[in-house]
Amino acid sequence: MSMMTAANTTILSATGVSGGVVSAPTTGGGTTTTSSTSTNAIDYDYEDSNKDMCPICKTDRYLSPDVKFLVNPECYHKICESCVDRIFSLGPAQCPYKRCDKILRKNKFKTQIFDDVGVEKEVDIRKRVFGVFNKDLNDFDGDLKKFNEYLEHVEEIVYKLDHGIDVEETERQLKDYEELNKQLILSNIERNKKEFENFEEREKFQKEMRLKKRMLERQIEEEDKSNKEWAKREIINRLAAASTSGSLSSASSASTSIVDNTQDVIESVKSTVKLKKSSARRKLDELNRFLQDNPYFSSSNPNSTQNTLLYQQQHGGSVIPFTPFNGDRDIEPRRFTIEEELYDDPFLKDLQNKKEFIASGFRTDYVYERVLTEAFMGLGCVISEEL
Amino acid sequence: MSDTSPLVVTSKENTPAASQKSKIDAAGTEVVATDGTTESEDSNKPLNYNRITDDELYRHSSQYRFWSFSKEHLREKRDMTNKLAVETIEKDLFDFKALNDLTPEELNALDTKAVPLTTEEELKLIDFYAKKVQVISQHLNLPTEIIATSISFFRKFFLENSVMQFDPKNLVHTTVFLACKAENYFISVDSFAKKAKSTRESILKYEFKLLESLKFTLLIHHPYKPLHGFFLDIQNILHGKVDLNYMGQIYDRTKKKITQALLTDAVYLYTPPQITLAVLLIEDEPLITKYLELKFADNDNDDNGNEVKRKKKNSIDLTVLLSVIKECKDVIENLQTVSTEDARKIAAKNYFCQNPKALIQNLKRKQQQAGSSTEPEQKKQRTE
Repeated sequence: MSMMTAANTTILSATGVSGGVVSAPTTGGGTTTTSSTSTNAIDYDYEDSNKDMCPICKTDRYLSPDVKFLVNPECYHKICESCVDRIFSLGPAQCPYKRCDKILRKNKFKTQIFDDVGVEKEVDIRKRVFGVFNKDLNDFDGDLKKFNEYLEHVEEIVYKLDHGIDVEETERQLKDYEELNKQLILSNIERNKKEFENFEEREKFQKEMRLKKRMLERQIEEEDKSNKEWAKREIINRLAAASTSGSLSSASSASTSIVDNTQDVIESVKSTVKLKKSSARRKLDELNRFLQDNPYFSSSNPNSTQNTLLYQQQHGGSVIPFTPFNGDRDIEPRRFTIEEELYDDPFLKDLQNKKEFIASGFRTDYVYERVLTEAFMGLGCVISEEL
Repeated sequence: MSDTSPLVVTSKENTPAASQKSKIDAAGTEVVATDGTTESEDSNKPLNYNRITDDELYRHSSQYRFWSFSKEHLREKRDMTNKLAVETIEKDLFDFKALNDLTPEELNALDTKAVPLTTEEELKLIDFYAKKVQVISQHLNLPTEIIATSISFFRKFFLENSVMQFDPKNLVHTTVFLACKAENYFISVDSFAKKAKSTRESILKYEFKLLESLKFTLLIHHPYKPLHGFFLDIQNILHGKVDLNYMGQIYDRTKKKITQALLTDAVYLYTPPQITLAVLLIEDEPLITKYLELKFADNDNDDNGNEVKRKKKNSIDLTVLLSVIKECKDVIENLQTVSTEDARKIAAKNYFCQNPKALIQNLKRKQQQAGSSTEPEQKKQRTE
């Protein structure tokens, strides 16, 4: 039996097959699960296909639903919480994964956020690198090109660290930069913090305002509702009063005067309702006006507008909206005019009346415009002379 | 974060290659120079603001920038392609002769039969296969514009590459398939292969090479839209003077002829509206001359402002236009069809110059046939 186990494990390590089912030639073509044959050696592979099982203690999410998995940024091997407590509570120890000789500490363990370990790793690296390389466009006096070069450089470092290219060299670079720019980094951290606080404050403010608005709106709605009901009741009441007084007068003229009366009553009630329009509505209007002027509520960040302004000043000239040819295309005199009523185009006329074409926004004048443009586009180019 | 991934160009209108860029810049500065004087009145517009004339619009297209040539330039380009291919073929032939032990008879056969094609022969073969592209795509019931696009793709490919490098036979289906994709007419490869009686692999094999040779410019301005435009504009200018039924007939006939015109060099030498007018001129000369005179004559008839008006950017000089159209008409009418017989001969020559070994084997077999007359019938059957 031990011979067989040895054979299996050598096959495993030689081929690197993940620790599921390995066909062992010694068993005569049969298959054996390695995990069942091996008891002493922990020979599972870290790319275990079962996501919900701790490869160390085999705790399964199915059996214990509240199991938590942790990883250590040294090697990113997934271990369940209880195993971490068990193995690392006495101090640093080796990673229990086979063929992993990293020494891990308990306090470095963290919950895995991303499913993909590669992503998790890159995010960690990014966090670390951006903690050091934390300049922004303002540090370059708005010079976009230099800033882009800087970003490119940072990306390079991240890429190298992530893919294990010249790690030592890059780490040294990182450290050197940190030493040289300590002051700047610290001030930038301070600034980022402030910005973040600012941002949070703004968020909070916006949230409050939104809540207030919603409350006012609800209030208005309720008032409207009660007003309506009041108006209904009022009309009926008044009409009732009118009819009792009307019955005293002569019956013949009553029918016409009642009709007039009804109209009048309804009108007068409605006008009072209008006047009753609540203070809530006024408050809402005020709030809206206030928010419009408030810099907190406008989504653009003051810094960015400043930057574009700077850019415009540097490059001169006002900025026109983008047009592909840097200007309009209409030029006088036009080579053609569209006279839709003069055209007789049976094909287009036919399409014009089809529902499916109209529904999708088909319009004959677009077609006319396009074909006529194409007809006169390049009519005056004499290629033999120009090229 | 900054975008570190390399930019992959897949757009229809490609950015100008470095070599072409200077040309465009020259044109661009020209425009600014002329515009500076006429448009000084819009002072609130930015400095680099200019208006694009209809001609300038066409000059922005990739068709103008990459695929328009003067006659001489076109000829040069073809000679260059031919020369490059001939050089490699001759080198291969030389190596073949040096490596193999050949009898004088065989050497003689090589010298007479395994000769690289000339530019004219190449052109004939390309024309023959371009016609074939048309026939096949018509057979597949594709819309007119897609047929036109396939023809253009095919001919452009062999403007960049020689038939001695790529067998035109292999590219026929590829161009038709790519044209379908470029014109947004969806057919899956498999169903296309089934319809065209080809295989998926052979269709896709040269697809990228084709795209590359086309410089990734897939938008082609065909003369069909201008034809539609002129069809409408003639009705406008000659309102009440033309019979609408007759115009419809002209339109249909011209449309067919335009497809023929796409098989000529007119597509490289003239702009789409010029080609359209040329074909219309073939169809009904008096009508078109009258239309053009009425349309553009006022430029010349203005006695006083004659000089000034002609210089206006968007106007058209009628005499120049007419001469260009007539030239174009001659080119279109000059279309010669290549007979299957000729094409076969050229194709055979093309094959032997690329595969001298086959020629030698052919020769040996013939000699054997002549020598051993014991079982000639069987051999003949096999060769046939």
